[in-house]
Amino acid sequence: MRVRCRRFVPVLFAALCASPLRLGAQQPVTITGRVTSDAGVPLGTVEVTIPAMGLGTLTRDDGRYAFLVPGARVSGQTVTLTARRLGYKAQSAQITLTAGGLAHDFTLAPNPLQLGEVVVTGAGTATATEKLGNVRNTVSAEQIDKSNETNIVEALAAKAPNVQVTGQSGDPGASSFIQIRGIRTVVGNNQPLFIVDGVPIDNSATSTSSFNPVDGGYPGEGTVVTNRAADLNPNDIESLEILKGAAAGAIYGARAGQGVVLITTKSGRAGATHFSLRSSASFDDVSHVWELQTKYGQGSLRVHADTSVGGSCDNIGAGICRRSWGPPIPAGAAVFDHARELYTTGHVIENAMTVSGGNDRTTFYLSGENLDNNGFFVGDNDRYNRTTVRVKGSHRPSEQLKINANLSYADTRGHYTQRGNNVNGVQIPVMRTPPDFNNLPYLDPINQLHRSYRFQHPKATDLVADRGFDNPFYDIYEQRNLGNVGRIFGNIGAEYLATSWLKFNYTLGADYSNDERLEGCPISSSDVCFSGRVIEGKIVTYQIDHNLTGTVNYTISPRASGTVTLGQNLNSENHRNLFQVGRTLVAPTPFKLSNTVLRDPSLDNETVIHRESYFGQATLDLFDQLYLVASLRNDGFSNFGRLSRRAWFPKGSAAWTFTKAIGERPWLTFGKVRVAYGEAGTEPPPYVTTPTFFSGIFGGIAQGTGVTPTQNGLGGLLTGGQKPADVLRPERSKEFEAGVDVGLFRDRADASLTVYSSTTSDVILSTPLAPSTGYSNQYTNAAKFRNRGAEASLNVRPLQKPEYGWEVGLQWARNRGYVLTLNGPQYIFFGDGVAQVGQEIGVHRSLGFIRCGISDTSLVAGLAAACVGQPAGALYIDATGFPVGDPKARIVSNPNPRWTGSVRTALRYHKLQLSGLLDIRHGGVVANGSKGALWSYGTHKDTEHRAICTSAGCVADPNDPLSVRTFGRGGWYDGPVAGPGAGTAVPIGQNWYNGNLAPCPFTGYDEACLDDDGYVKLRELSVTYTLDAPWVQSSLGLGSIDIRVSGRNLHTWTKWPGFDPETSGGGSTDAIQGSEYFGNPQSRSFVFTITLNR
Amino acid sequence: MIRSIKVAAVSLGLALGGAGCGSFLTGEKLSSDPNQPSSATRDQLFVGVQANLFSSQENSVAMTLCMWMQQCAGVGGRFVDQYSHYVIDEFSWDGNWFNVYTGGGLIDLRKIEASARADGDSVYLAIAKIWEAFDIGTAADLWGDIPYTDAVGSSATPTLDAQASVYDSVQALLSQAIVELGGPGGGPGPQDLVYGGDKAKWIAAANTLKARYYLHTVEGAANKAAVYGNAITAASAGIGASAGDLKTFHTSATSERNIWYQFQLTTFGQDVVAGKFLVDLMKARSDPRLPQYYGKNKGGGYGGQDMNVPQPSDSISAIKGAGRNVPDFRQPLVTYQENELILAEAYNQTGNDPVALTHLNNARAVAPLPALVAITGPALLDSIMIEKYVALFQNIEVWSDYRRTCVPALVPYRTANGANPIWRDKIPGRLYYGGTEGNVNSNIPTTSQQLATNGFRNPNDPADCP
Repeated sequence: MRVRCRRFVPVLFAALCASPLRLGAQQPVTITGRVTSDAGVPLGTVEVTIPAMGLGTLTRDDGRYAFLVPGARVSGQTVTLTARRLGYKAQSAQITLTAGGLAHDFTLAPNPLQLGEVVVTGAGTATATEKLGNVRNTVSAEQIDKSNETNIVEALAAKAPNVQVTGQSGDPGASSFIQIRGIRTVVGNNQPLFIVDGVPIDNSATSTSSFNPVDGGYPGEGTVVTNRAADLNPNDIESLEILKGAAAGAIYGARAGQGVVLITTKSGRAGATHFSLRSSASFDDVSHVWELQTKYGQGSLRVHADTSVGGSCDNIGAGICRRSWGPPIPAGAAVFDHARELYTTGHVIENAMTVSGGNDRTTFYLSGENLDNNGFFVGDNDRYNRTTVRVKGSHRPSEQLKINANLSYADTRGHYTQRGNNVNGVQIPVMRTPPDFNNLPYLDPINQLHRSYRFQHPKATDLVADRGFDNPFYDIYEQRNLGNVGRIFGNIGAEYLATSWLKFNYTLGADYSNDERLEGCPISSSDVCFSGRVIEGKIVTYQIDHNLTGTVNYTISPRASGTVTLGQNLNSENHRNLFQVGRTLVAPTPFKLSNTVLRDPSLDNETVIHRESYFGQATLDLFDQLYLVASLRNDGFSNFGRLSRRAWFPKGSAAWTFTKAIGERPWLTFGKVRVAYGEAGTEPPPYVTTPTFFSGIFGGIAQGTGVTPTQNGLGGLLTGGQKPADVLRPERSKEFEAGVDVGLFRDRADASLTVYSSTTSDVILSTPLAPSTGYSNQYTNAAKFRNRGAEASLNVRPLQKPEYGWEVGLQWARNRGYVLTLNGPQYIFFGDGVAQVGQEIGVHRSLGFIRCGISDTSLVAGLAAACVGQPAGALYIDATGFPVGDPKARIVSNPNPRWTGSVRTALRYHKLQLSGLLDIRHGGVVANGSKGALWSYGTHKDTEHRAICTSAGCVADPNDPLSVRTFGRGGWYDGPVAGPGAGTAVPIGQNWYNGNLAPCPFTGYDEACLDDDGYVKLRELSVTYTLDAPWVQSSLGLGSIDIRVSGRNLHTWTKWPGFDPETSGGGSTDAIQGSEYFGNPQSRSFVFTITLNR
Repeated sequence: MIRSIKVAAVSLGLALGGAGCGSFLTGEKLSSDPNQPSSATRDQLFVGVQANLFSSQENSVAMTLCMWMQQCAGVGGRFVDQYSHYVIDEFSWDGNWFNVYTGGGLIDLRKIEASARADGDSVYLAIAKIWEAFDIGTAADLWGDIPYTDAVGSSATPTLDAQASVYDSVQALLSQAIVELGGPGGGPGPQDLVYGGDKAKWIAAANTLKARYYLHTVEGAANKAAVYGNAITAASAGIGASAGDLKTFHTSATSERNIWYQFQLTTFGQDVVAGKFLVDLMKARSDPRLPQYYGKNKGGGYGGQDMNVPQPSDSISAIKGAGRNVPDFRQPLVTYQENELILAEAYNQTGNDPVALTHLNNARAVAPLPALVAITGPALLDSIMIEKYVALFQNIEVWSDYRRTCVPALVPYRTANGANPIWRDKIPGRLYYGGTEGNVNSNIPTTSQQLATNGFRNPNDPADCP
């Protein structure tokens, strides 16, 4: 290893110093030319090479290229000159190298089906597009660029069918969750494996709150989290392949059960040094706000709370001050817009540069990026800054050996805002503030102490006093929530061509990050942050990955050839989390543990996983039209159960280009059918097979309470609730996939259809045990899931002329995942959902209303009689005209979308391009906890229509017909109703919204507040103009200038009544998306980008 | 070239061979959890068990029952408020169900007992048995029929034992413990956070517990006098002075603080406030404990919330009494006062009112309250039970007393319209079994079956309160 490192430095040095225009000793040949599309448009980044000599370059954006063949290698020979670019059919020409200059122009025809292009298929294997037995989903650098997303995962939204991306929120640095073909597992957070240049990288997301079990410990309670793939500079990515499902991902065995994302970074190429400088500025605002009522003031039962100095609202215990059920706010009195007051225009400034080039032996690629994102909250404390550098180089010391190195450093600094289920977060305080309370100034004008609506006039002695809820501005301006990451990742490697038919490939990859966290609540905070709180922590991860493959090319006859690849992979993955919570600040600043009085028990958690795998793959190409692939992987992981340390994962696929057999037709220029079968797995969490004893916090009632087994200085322990697993196998998905890809009407259109069926057996679950056995849970291979679905895409290019062109792409997908079997319990909670036999995976189990045919008739006298003749599911209405809660929990909603789709279009007119992307998620119903809570607090817009509720009871507001409702009709829980009160109009006000059923997060009756979170979203709209006129070259010395104006997330059409439906409480730490409880809003952006190319 | 191939082949062989030996997949931090201890001593488990049983007696169940017994009340519109309005489900006390059996509960008590037995430490064994009796006795009080003989064993779905047989087991455990406390062994010594290993105090506490659990069987007993007789026998050997009270242990350290106190520091804890019934009762009695139990309201006095008739929020006291709302307050669980009041009730019910009155006045003297004179019969019983209701503030035993005596005469929560179909305008008579147990253990009746059985009351509670 040390030898390689020493050699690496001079290689890199050589790469950096090598002059790309080094002159040969004798009579060099300069080859120049221009590449255009068959529509006449100049094509940049076309690779023009003499493959036999390893020489070549890339065209500039004006389509021109030039490179030099050193004189020493010129002997008047005839060589093949090739031009290739993604999306175009490659062209070759024979040229004869003679002294002096030589010119050759190319005209490339589009290749929408990308036939002949090389696709990486993982673990060092690659193939040509038409030979693939799986559906292919590629995301190009251009698509990533146009998304204007800073997080590479979010950039994948709406790019491929059945690849569902959900952003946590619009906060700077917020994580994004990616789910491929439905929920396949419930272990961990259900994310695919990310591989960059052949090396797995960490894409974990860790909430600081997870390390504070005393105060709750749920990621939905602290700040947003960042998923570590966000440390990638999107500008470095050349292409990205999504391997969907087991059939495609089997080569990655036990880690590919949720799919694999293969990322290839850009490389330098021989030829002129290419410079690019990209600068973009974005203006971000909140896409949707929660609409709040502005008519009724602070109080209860139409009595206004006493907000005078020393009044009720200087006592956080006073219930009357908590909510907005007071009398109407008098005309002319001040009303404050709590829905919008926290937000301003945020910015993203990004500058990125790349320099790349090389010569026949050595190539290099250098890039740097600085991104500064100041979020949409007022003030300067929601920021995300990322600086990345990448150095990539290769050198060919001999004709057989190529060595390469690729290292990236990322420095990311996040300043986050607390939100979620958290009264020290901004959203609960701001949206519950009565409309007649001004949150500003957030410090008392006289004594400069924190004031909030439940504690309006702090006295000078109230520096340390609970405010009930914090003032949201106090949190925004005075808290410090930091996540500072230093990360280095990359690889060194070698390719060795032992003979013409045998090639070795070696990669040694590394990924190290140190994430330093701080959460500092100031001294006048409320609740769990009472008297100030400091959490300091470190998350350290490091991973080494060794991958060695040998590939044999064989040819049996001209009609039968193929490859055989054998490989070995070793991997060591280490995570360490060290956290300490300190309470009660000594002095108001600094936020340092050393400045706190009390400390919680510290948290120190480490995991080490070793993996040792062998794999092989064989391909056979028959008659240039039938392509067969078989592969097998054997994984041995340290986290598998003791009794089953190794596991096999096979795969096989076949693709038949039937148009080669039946011949092309004018309307059918290409046709391929494909079938694939594969098995892939999900590894168990580590350390679930050994007994442990527990020393942490337990036994509390709510956040901020609990004790340890250690008391009075005497060490105490408890038997761990988790029973050691006896035998634990990796979870296994067996997937069958079949599809057809066609090119139609001379490439004017292409279409693809794929169907798949995947059965996941041995699903690893933290299975609940009967507590009366002495244990709470045990990891077991407990369930079988099945996901079935279909994916279709259609791309049409109706207009393709030199001056203009238009294309449209449609994608559609559906997935249905069911729980087939479950051993032991009736249902298992994971995230906000459950696995329950016969139900879709991840449905929501909660309490609902008593309904005919669903609820036990013993619950309410007369229920059986009332339901006679009523349809199943009719809502029981008791004599008072209201529904009744059913104490027996049941499945109340299904968050999985019914189908997803996208529409993409691009228009080109001369140098002007216009493109747009529409993202559709249809269906999916989620319990809207924020809505239920805001109902309870009387601040939700719905509560603007309210009956007059006083201590004497509730009566209709004569001026508001919507203050009276009839259950089952008129948009009020529509549907059949039964029972003595059916059809009775009842007053709806504080009695209902702040009652025992409607405010779902407090009552547990989630059926009362369900909402559809489907959407149609205009994700992207952009206009680009390319300036490549001769004067650009002559007076600016540039090849071209691209100017782009674009919009991101411009509009969302949805029935969801809150922030954008694309938000998620725990972000990418949640196995099921869509939980909603006072997360932060989404953003939309206008982005201006200018790119200079030379 | 040939040389390069050889080098490559040798490297490949080394890499494959070197990794193939298997040691790469096992070893330190790979085969076992580096984060948690993999073994525990008897003393460590015993300290942990006490922490669990203390917090179990102070957390959600105690808070809820304080509200149902109208010593406390719930406001704030969130889960505390919902619990006070009987909006509860099978997960409301799921965690308390865990605490009976899992780490810190029965599983660890059994480990401690096995270890003490193996070492011949009869005293340690006895004290563990008393805790076991308290643990499962409390569970039987809350849930009625519970897994016991089958629990913490090989069965994945333990069957339910009848509540009566669990109480029989409790009596047997306590009787054995009383004998074994006289046997050999050093006992837990300083690990005993309650009595520091004082055998006499444990014998007294075990007797008071015996008396308590006899009373839990009296309502449905065929021969009530015999049961009361047993209670008198036991309580006569019970806790004889407040210094012998069995109390939880706390310090001011963050993770060792009283749970009631900790909860009051949180936003949810502020939703538990004074209950109007007890505040008014104590005001009427001029009870000196009022400022220990409750904080002052905005007007400088005391008031509580009434679940049926919302009170002005400025009139309501917080659960922030000067005596109790401190981090190291040791919550009384089994006390001299309870022992005296058990005797008072038992003597009253067996026709010996003068002795009953003496014991009542013994209990009142602790408060201190003046002695009562010349009360007899049902009026005396009422005074005894009211005294117990006040003295046992925040103790879940209050609910057991209420269910069998219906004293004090509480008005259950009723919705504004008088309709409360599930609860039939009654205070719930038991808790739902923990949802996790119900999910896995098919022996647990469904929530609807629980509601439909005996009016949602335990077997020892045949008669409903009005």
